[in-house]
Amino acid sequence: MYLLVFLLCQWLLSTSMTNVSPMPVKVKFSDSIEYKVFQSFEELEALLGEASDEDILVVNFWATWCAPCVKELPYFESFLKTNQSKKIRVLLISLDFPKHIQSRFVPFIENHQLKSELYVLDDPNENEWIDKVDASWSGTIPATLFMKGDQRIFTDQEMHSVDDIEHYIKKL
Amino acid sequence: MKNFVLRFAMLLLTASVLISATIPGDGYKIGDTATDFELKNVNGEMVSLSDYPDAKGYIVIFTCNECPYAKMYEDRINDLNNKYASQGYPVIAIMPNDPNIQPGDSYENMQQRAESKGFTFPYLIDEGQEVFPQYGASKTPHVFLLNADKVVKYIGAIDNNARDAASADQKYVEDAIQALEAGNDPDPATTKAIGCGIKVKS
Repeated sequence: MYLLVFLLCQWLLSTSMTNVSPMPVKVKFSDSIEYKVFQSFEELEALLGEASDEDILVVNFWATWCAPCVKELPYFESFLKTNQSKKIRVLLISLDFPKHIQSRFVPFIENHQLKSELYVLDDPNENEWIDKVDASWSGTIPATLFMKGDQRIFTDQEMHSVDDIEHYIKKL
Repeated sequence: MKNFVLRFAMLLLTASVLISATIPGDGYKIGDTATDFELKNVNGEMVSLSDYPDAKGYIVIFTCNECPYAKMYEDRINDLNNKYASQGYPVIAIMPNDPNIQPGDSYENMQQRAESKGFTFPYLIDEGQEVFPQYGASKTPHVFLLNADKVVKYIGAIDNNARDAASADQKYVEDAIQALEAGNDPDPATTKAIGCGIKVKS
């Protein structure tokens, strides 16, 4: 009996260990909405680094608990829709907490059927990585980084229209 | 004509100095002296820094009811006050949001939160939203540690792990107080963290 309990514990332990993966976890849904979880900012940096020089990247930091973030998301979505033929990628980086991914983040992206690339950044060492996004960023969200090749434009201003987004794109 | 150009240039210079001095969000840098304030506490009394004549320093924290980050730090803010008020470093919390934009941060809701969480520190409302821009607070929670002379010595987060106090291995505010106690300047003097932007009348 004790052996059985011991083995069961071992099995539980081993399965829980395999869940803690340092690599991004890719999750697929029945309705094919995908997202990845980055355990460290370096993983996000690596992804941004892979972009070609012609690609325009719109990287938006948000969370389901952030009302102004949720308000501006439709503008990013419709911006993406109208620019689908161009080399433009919209990356939505959620800062929702790990314990809220299943309970809040997943229902949100399903309800809104988001078409942007979806990521969750789970790196608690904010004092380290906020400056790597932009030295002028205090850490408030929403915040958006526009990138093309070596060019980077950062803003912590909320987008009030698709035109607001276009305005930054034109500066690149 | 030359005189006119010179005068115009002087005017521009004066204007630019004036504008840069009044840009909101500029706020305090390390080494600046903070001005006192008089704000209403949840118990109805007005509170100022000058109410603490024996203070060796002040832990001024801009925080609120609604922001998830602020909520995660509520118990830690209480702990800070319980540990350091008796040592001469009281916590003074200020709620900077406009309750018309975020009703959960109304004065009545602040009173309820202070009651239910057993806040041992004053929880003040920045009515008119004039104090937080002076400090340069941009989010909740946002800490400003002042010394006895109200000189700003540390600006930033409470520690380096919002979601789990036990996992925080750098307790910025506590380390900064210890530095002041040892007669040193805090290092780091500033830190960054994710937070909720302050809700301002538009």
